[in-house]
Amino acid sequence: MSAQSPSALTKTLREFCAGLLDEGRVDVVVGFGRGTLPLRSTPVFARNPDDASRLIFDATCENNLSVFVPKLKDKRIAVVAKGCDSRWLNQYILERQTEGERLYVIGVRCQGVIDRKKLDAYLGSRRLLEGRLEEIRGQGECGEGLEGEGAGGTGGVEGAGGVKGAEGVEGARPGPGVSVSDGHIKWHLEGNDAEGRPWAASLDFEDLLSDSCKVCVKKGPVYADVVIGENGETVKGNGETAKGPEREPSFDDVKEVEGASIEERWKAFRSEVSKCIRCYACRQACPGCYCKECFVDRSAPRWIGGSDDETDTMVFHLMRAMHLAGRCVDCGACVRACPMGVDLGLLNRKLQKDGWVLFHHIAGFEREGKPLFGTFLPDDPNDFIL
Amino acid sequence: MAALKITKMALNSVLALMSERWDVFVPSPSPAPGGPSGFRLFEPRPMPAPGKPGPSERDSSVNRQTCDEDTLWNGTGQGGQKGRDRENHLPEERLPQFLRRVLTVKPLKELFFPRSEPILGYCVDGAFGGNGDGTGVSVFMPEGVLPGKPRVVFGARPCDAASLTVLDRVFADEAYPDDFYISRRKNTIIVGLGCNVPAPTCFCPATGGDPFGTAGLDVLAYDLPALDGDGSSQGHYLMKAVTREGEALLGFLSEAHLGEGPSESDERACMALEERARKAIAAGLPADTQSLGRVLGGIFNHPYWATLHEKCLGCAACTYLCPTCHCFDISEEPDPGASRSGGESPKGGPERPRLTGVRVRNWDSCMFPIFTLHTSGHNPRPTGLERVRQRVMHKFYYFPENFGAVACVGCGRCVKYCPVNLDIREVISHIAALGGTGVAESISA
Ligand code: SF4
Ligand code: SF4
Ligand code: SF4
Ligand code: SF4
Ligand code: SF4
Repeated sequence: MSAQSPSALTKTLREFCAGLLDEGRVDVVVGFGRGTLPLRSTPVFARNPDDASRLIFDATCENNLSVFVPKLKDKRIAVVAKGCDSRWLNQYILERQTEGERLYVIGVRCQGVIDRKKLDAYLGSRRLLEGRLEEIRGQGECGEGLEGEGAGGTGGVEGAGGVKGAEGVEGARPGPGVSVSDGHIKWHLEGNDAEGRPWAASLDFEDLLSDSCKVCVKKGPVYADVVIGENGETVKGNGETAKGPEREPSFDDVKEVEGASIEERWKAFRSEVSKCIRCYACRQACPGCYCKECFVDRSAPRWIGGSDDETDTMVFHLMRAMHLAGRCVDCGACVRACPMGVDLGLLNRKLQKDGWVLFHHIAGFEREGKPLFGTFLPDDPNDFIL
Repeated sequence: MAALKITKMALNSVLALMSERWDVFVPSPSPAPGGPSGFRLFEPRPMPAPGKPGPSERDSSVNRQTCDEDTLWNGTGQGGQKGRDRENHLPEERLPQFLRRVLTVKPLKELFFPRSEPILGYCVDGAFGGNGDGTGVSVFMPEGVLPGKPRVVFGARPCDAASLTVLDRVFADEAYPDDFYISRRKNTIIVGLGCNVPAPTCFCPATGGDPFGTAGLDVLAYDLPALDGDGSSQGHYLMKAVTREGEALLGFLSEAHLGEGPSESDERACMALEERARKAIAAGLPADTQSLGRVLGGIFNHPYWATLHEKCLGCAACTYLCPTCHCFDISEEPDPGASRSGGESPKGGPERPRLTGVRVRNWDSCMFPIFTLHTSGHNPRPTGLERVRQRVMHKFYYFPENFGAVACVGCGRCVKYCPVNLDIREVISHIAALGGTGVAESISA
């Protein structure tokens, strides 16, 4: 992102996917296309080379596309995958929901995606008619973000391919994408206000960034058949998966809440879930919620009631989070899908923290073996058992 | 009283006065950053003691200072908990500012057809009669189900009000009148607020609506911007009565000297606002929806549905937030008050509820896989294809066939909140185009 505009990536993406489809190497490419509203994307299912011209990739690509994999009947599926999408693709293989051979992972290095609710909060009564990312080219500062990646512009890509430097990259520096938070990329917004007068504004990239992206531990794919870099270059993957996160996960937000009294936490949880209308957009947006029948929908036995009763809603949220324990990759797709602004992220991240602190486990980095909750070792920590 | 003009600074006093006679509902600041979430009860502030600065003076200073959207945003963005709380407890002074945001997240239907509504209570331990010998079942109407105090809604958008005329066809149908809905409709006066600048997702004219439409409204208010020398810092609301109930409401306000009649220039300003809004919204409209049924009737098996549904996640964001969607499911729930405290029940009910339950009517959605799941395990709408098709067919074909109106008012909520940007306006235009190619006729033939 630091040196060239995202359209270089998009251009290569289109050409590459058209080629894949033309050669019949995959039956469908699941990717993103331009949405119908400013700063919105929409999932695209490209099944012939022409469809590939609709593909894009940029910071508006907010969905976790791996969610579509279990639903697709196509024999061979290519997925345009950010770090978190690729982690769920791994997780699907680990959980035996699909075979690795069926998937072709087109990795893209992601700088983070937009949270539309933050945009709405900013807009207030203003209407947004146009929005785009603008690169503010600095002189020399860009180099900073590339340090430690070794090979300049492509360094991040090699790392992202799952070989070199994929794990333990220079502490907290997530790679080239970081330059955006140094103020090199801005959201340019335009529209009219409640009285019809035009306005325009420029916001820092971080201002509209999804919370989960701020703490992302792997901006590039953990496994990829090919990686398309920010400058539009393609690098073949080597068929290996990254060994671990590229920076130590931080759980400051969780720790802050853990510091509060049990009454305060209870109050905060109640007020958070009180917004929920039980539309299940969070569940449907999550790749992990692939159960044929969700516990909330079950009628015999009936686990929870169907009304907006507070207790039932709390049970839904606790159970949903627990069912994702050791599996959630913190992609934030659930949070972004929620129309009511319920912050599901905190519960998700509490469980991730427990996984990390107790078992040094972080989901989505393995294609083989057993899921966290599928393993039991006699010396597992068990202090929490009363 | 046919029309009344109040200053925006007086809005709080007007609502407070109304609160003496009605329960007043206003669009509520969002629980999330990003606009009002629904309608909430207006809580009047205590009036200042005589001699203290009057409400309008106090309001004006607050309003001037919070007029800038950036002030509202500061500290509320970033997804911070503190920020959210702040938005949640926005003072009433900021209401005129909030009213300019186009739509609440949750639609107006919630005040008439709530998310969950107890429709029956029962007690199975012999209390309250039962068999008369301490055993048996008693059935009662939960308290608080049928509204007591009459209500006023202030600030509903014309599309939301129009949605009530759609819901009326279902719930106020002569053959199957729904007492719960009807009683709420009857005791609610709706003051609408015309849309000076429609949102980019608005398409009411394609469904027969208008940014200043009056369907379903008792009063339509115009948001008149402040003009130099008109003595207001924020401008005025000009309220025009649509129904007799609306006239009575305005009469009540004018008796309290809370406004004045409009001048001729005010009337011209209203016309100008209407024209500007119509021109603005005309730019991005999809095809007109009122003749879509003709096409839809012929494309039940068209391959279009297979591509359309593919990205749909199957949630209920589009249907729960839709002001015209009216599907419900009835479930039996334990009375939460009874089970927790053994004392008084918040959902209504007897004083000594034990072993009691409530029958609750909940919103349901045709986008859920279990919506049409039969007891046998068979599901006539087994995949997303049938479900997305149902949503479109119902809104633009079945409903018009059965009730003579499209079941969409063009509010754009489903456009805005769909997590995958499945845009109903695009669907409408695609279908219209299918009709144009004659595909509908050829398929049905
Ligand atoms: S629970 Fe939310 S953050 Fe976690 S994997 Fe699912 S969608 Fe992503
Ligand atoms: S998406 Fe939001 S409102 Fe819908 S069920 Fe999930 S938390 Fe509740
Ligand atoms: S279908 Fe969409 S645009 Fe139409 S009334 Fe419902 S939510 Fe609004
Ligand atoms: S759809 Fe029409 S009536 Fe509804 S908010 Fe938009 S402009 Fe106003
Ligand atoms: S159209 Fe969008 S909002 Fe509606 S069910 Fe599908 S994904 Fe959810």
